[in-house]
Parts: sequence; C-alpha cells; structure tokens
Amino acid sequence: MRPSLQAVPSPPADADEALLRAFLDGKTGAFEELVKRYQQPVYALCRRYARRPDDARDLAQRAFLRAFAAAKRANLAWNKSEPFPFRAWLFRIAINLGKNHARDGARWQLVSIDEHAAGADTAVSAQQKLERAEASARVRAAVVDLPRREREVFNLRVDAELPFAEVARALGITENNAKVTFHHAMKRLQSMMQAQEESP
Amino acid sequence: MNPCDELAPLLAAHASGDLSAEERTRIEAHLEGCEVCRAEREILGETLALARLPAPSELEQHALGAFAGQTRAAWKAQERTTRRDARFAFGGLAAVAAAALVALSVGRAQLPGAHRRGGLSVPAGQVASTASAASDSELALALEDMSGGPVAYASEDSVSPYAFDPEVASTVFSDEGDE
Repeated sequence: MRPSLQAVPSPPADADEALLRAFLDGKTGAFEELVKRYQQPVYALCRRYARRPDDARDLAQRAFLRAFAAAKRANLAWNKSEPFPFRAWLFRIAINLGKNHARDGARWQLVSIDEHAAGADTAVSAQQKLERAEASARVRAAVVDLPRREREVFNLRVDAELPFAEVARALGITENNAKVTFHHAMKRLQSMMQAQEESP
Repeated sequence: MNPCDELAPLLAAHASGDLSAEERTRIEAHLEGCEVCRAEREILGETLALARLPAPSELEQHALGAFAGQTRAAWKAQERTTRRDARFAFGGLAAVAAAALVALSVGRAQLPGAHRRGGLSVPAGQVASTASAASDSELALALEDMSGGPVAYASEDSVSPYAFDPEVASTVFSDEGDE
C-alpha cells in the first residue's frame, strides 16, 4: 500500500527567482538546478495523463521547455518589482500538456502506468486485486474527465502532493477555495463510483 | 448551519491529510460524535486511495536521475533550432526587401529625369551587396542580440503562447475541452 498522502512544501519563491534570473543571464547551471527542484512534482503531474513512464517523462520535459521559453520571452516585459510566476506557470503548463495528451491519444487506455509501478499487495486474493484494479482504473479515468478547475486542484494536491496553500497560489485562488474545489472533485468521483456500483 | 453542512467541505481535505491544526481539531472532534460524517469520511478516504496513482517504480526514479541533464540538452537543441530558423527567416526577409528595392530603383531609373534628381535611385550592384550582407548569419545574430532575445520562435516546441500578460496567459491556460 502506498504511504499516506503528504503535503510537501516547495522551496521559497525568491529562491526560484534568483535561479530564473541567473538562467536568463545565461548561466546554464541555473537551468538544471530549477529542473531538479521541480522534476518530481512535474513528473508526478504528468503521470496522471500518461500511459507509460516514457510518455510522462516526455510530457514533463516539454513542460519545462515551454516554461523556460515562456520565461525567456516574457523577460522583456517582466516587471522586475514582482516575482515571476515560474512555478505556477510550470505546473499549469504540465497539467495542460497532460490533458491534451490524454485527449489526443486515441490509444490511451485505463491500464496506464500501473503496469510499470512497484509494490503489488500480495496479501489480497487475485480476485480482490482484479476488482480493486478495475475500480481504481475507473476512478482514475474519471479524474482525467473532471471539470478543469477540479482536475487541476486534484492533480496538484494528490499527484504533486502540494499543500492546499501552494495549490491555491499556483492557480491564483484562495486556499479555502482550493479546499472547497477539492471537496467538489472528491464528491463527483464518489458519485461516479456509487453510480457504477448500482448499475447492473 | 448544521455542523455537518459546515464541516463537510473539510472532510475531503482531511482525507487528503492537509488541514490547519485548528481545522483538524474541529473536524476530529466532530467525527467523534457524528456517525454520518465518519461514514462519509471513510468513503472519501477509500475513493482517494483508488484515485491515487501507485508510487513511481525504482526504474522510473532511476530514469529521473538523468532527467535534468537530458532536459538541458533538449533546451540547447531547441535554442539552436530557434537561431537557425531566425537566420532563415531574416535571410528571406532581406531577400524580399532587396528585391523590392531593385524593383523600385529600376522603376525610377526608367522615369524621365531620374538621373537629374540623383540620390533617388539606387544602383543595382549596391542593392545586391546589401542583400548579401543582410542574409549573412552574423548580421542576423547581431540583430537578435540587439533585440534582447531571439528574433523568432519557429519550431513547434519553441512557440510559447504564454504571454506575460496574465489575461492572455489565463486564456491560453483555459482548456476548451472542459466545462
């Protein structure tokens, strides 16, 4: 069983700012440092939409490239008195790319990244495992089909394991709004599960 | 308001394990005495467990070890493509401009009295040398440096629609397929 969900705070935004400025000044070491800092949450966001680990890694890489290109382009218009929202842009680009990937991939299947993951629970019977895997696949598919804002909040809180305060910052909403939106997402998933259980 | 209605939105956050200390105390005190909310909390926990993805395998974690270096290499390749495309774009533009100048100078040379007015026509040889200089990659790069950034983003990956204007950015981020 996977350990319980964490709320992993990101590094302070001003540390990002310094690295981003260094990158824009041509210091390539800053590029790798920023990538290392966010590769885990960005990869985790992309896994939600990918069928294979390779796809998730490719999506994550494209998200970084787009975020850096956006930062470079925006540099001229950047009001230096305000922090550049690199982290928020990066996360949202990753989610958008992921969603587009899932939508465009006609061959995308519900069995996704499970096949490659470790940690099968040997304490349950084969039948129970099968039933649980099917239920899980249905819920995960439903997550991808959640309304946009609910999906973004779910994705950031559950997959990237960001605390609600950071989810809110990334999406430009209040922390309370993030919690309420998460509640709506969970209720929607729950209703969907109940409807499936009741259907013959 | 019924305490259940008031606290219901926090049940999912409780299941996800991220609540303030004050919220957690309130919720847990309520759950002690409310069977309905306890059952609801249990279902939410089960739903969340089913919706979570399995932890990344060792293989995935291992592959992430090289991710930053690979991404940096991809960035460099993209930058090279961008510069090359910018040079092509500038060269094409310069050629068009040169052709237009030639056409203009020929047209003026054919007008009666063009030589007398002097300075209005440009000798063809001079135009050709301008075109040659303009298509030179060094000039394209110099202009790129002067503008403070790449002249153009021509490859698909390098085109970033995310303008710095928050309103524009929010439009780009919006997902037309949803809602």
